[in-house]
Amino acid sequence: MKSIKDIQIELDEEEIIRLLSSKKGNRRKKKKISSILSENIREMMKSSLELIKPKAVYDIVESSSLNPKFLFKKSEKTILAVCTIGKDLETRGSQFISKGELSKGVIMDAIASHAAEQTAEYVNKTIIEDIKDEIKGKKVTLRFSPGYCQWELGKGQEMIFNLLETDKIGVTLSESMLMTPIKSVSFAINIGEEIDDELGSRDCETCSMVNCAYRRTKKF
Amino acid sequence: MIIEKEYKEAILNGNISLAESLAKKAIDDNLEINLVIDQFSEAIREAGDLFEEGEFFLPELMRSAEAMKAAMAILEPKIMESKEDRFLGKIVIGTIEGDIHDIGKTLVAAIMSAEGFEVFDLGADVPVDKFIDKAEEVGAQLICISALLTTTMVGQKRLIDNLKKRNIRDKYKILIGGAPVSRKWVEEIGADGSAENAVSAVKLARKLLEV
Repeated sequence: MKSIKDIQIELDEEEIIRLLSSKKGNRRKKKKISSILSENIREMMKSSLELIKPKAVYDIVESSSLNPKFLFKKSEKTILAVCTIGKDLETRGSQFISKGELSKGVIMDAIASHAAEQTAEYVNKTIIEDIKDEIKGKKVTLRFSPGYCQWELGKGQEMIFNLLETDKIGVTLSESMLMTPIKSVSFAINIGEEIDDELGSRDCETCSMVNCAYRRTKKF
Repeated sequence: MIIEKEYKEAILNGNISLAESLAKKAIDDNLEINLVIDQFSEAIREAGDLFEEGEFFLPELMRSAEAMKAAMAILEPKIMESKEDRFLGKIVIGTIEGDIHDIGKTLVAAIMSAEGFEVFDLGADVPVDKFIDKAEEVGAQLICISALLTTTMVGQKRLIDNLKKRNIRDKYKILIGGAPVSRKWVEEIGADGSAENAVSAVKLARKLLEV
């Protein structure tokens, strides 16, 4: 098992704004954002940077040892990873909410969700870059997480947390399979010559979780 | 009227101090409090519509709710004096046991409250029977139960099953919320509905309770 500590992430204001829009707002091509709100978001992005402490652990295992078979059968190797941005930003957001400062609270929460996803993206890219010589000529899926892509949340989380020492990055799993800190991401990536390389994107099109914040469309 | 415009401006701009000073002025000038609240309510509904239409972003809607709350805190003692029940209804809301996601349901609670419901927010990680006991205690009409995990969603079904066991299912409308909740799940467990955001949740609540 390996750890990644020096994780460099960048926050994208547009993505944070997307997370703060209604569904109809996101469908519109051009959205107007007031200069006050834009300034608030930028200020909060700036102040949140020191509260984001990204860390990750991962391992690369034989896919044949993993279940459910329908997800891993065509894969040769699978990367399993858990990453987090730590607890501090989440705590700051909760403090705003409990003080009744809901506007600041929702901005902080969107920043934290985005930072967690950016951390997962960085970890994903770093691992693939590290092993690029070993996987030459093979196909790689997008990352996919328990609870998505028909992967049962409980079984998927248990498998990943049994294989990785997540206590090294301070991430724990509750009985209801909730990760703490909340802004953590667990995921898998399949590697092989005959893998289903649309895994992680195709199923979103037909998934019934229409409100899912991580719903991927074909542009991914 | 200029004043009406100011009420609207205070809420739509999320101007908390203006909302507070307008509420104070309304009391000082001995204005009809119900009419004042109607003005504020109209503005918060407009903020909700603007959010749904994509004109407003979530922090702007929340800022409007904060301004509404600030105004109501000043006006409420006056309403109590008149003993007239202005609430649209009583709502018990919370996130199910085993789940500590708090924000989604807090936003629904804020908008419900801003629209004129009396809201009893039980917080997160709430046992199913606590929802029922609270609803019984306060005489609520609606229970809103949030679950963000497929593993905790079963608690929504348990709530309805327990209400049936206690022969009180028909006393309440049940709204369920959370990212994994689908229309199929609503039907499967026999809930009364689910909404995609806080504004549509309030609209649905009003429709279900016919208020």
